[in-house]
Amino acid sequence: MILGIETSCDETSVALLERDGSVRVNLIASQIERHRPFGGVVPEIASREHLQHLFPLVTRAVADAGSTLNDIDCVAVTAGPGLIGALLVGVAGAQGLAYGLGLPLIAINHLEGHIFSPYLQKEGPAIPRPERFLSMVISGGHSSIYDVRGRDVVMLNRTRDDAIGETFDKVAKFIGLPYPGGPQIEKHANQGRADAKRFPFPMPQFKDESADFSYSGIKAGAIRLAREHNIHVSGDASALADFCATFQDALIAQLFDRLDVVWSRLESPVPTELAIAGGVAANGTLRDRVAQWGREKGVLVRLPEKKFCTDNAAMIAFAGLQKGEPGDPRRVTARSRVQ
Amino acid sequence: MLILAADCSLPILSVALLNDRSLLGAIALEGKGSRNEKLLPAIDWLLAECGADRRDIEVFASTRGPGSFTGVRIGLATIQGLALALGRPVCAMSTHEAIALGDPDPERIAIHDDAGRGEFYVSLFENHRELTAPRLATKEQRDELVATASLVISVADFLQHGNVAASCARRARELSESSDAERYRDVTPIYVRLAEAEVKLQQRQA
Repeated sequence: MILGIETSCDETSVALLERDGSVRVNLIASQIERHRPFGGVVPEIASREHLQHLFPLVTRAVADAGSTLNDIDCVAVTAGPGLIGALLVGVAGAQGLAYGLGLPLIAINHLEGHIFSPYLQKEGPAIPRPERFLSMVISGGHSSIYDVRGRDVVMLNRTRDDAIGETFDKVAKFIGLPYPGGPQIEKHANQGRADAKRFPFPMPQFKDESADFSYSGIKAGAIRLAREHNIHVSGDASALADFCATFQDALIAQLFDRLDVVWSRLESPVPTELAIAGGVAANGTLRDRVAQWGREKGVLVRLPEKKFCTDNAAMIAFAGLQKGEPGDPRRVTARSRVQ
Repeated sequence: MLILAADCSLPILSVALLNDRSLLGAIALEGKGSRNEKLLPAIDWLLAECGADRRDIEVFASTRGPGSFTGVRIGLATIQGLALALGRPVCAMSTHEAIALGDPDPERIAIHDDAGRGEFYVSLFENHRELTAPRLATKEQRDELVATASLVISVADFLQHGNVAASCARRARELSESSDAERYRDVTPIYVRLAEAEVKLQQRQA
């Protein structure tokens, strides 16, 4: 079995996977409530919480799997990108465990964890992944499309400013919705109807015809519109619902605008699968639309199980299985930014 | 009894290996940067050079602050990982306790350290027990507290001639024979200070 540890942001997670990718245990201690009073993740508090939860979770994971630490033959840990103090708790804990058990330790790029996560199943072995697939990672920290070939990951675009999930969260905070804002916006959007005349959002275009994302314009526009129309959780519920629906539409529309550009620029043969990952992949409207996109293009769309959308250690252990190069626990470093 | 101890809470990181009453080896090195990149290599080197096997270690000792928040976490996480992996107990103590009680000394001891922002961390020990846990003090409060002690140690001075991990290991050895051992399984870091954001939130709510 491989042990996965993830502490890059505000979820402490520990998982045990079989070599075939079967998830035996995936435990997540969420700190959402702890950070709620601050309207966002406080790095020092996150780091404190990680240390408090890490080892109780490891002990529980092993017990839940009905195994012992000796059944583990490899450890994988998120080494970046993320909050450095938070990452260091997981990395140092994993270093001690791996060295103590005499096992290799694989340092995982958090993004690679997300990229492969759509191939994990709730039960049973992982879905065999094709040699090549297109990956779109959409979360609080990332908005990027990648061309994945074997172990090589080539970035095709990125966000020039805010990530899509970050935009959801920041605008939600502005209109008084609790953290994390993404699911809250979705909840209200489901009660409303998109009205682009009343709430016009820009579709950013770059002079250089780049396929990059840009969400700062939509964020600024949303805040301006919310002010103009008095959109707030304490105000008119139907206006709030319509605003959320239009805002969510604008965020998602840009994803498909850029995806189409990226897709049209791919040389044939094009990938046969599109794998969506990250916290925003849990959004119901997005899931429906991407499935539709796949049907139109004749591309198989892989959506992650909802529990593997947000940060979790199962995907980190799974990325460790994809990598397969054993590392030395003495030589692992944590990096807040990873190139 | 073989004891491995580590301190990552202070500007000098240290690791020590103690066999009963004899020190097998100790390392002290500049701890800036990512202490996790130094701690495990230091432990590994020390074990190898002392001809010891990690599986022979019976107690994993660590300081738990006050000091660098990140450093305290790195030390405690690594030591807990090792102890869990090898099925051995942890003995965790305040950094001040390691410094004050690592050597047998029945006097009343005061330990103080610069906590930045014009404040100090201070603890008191008497008859080989902690009298006052690490607390934050102004310069005046510190002076008042240390005036009652017969021996006053500044952490910064101690770092120049002592090895904190070696003191931690000696204290852990002493504790292993005492009825207090269970109490020292507590691996909660001693931060003393709240996170900055919590202080600000409290001020807003006040």
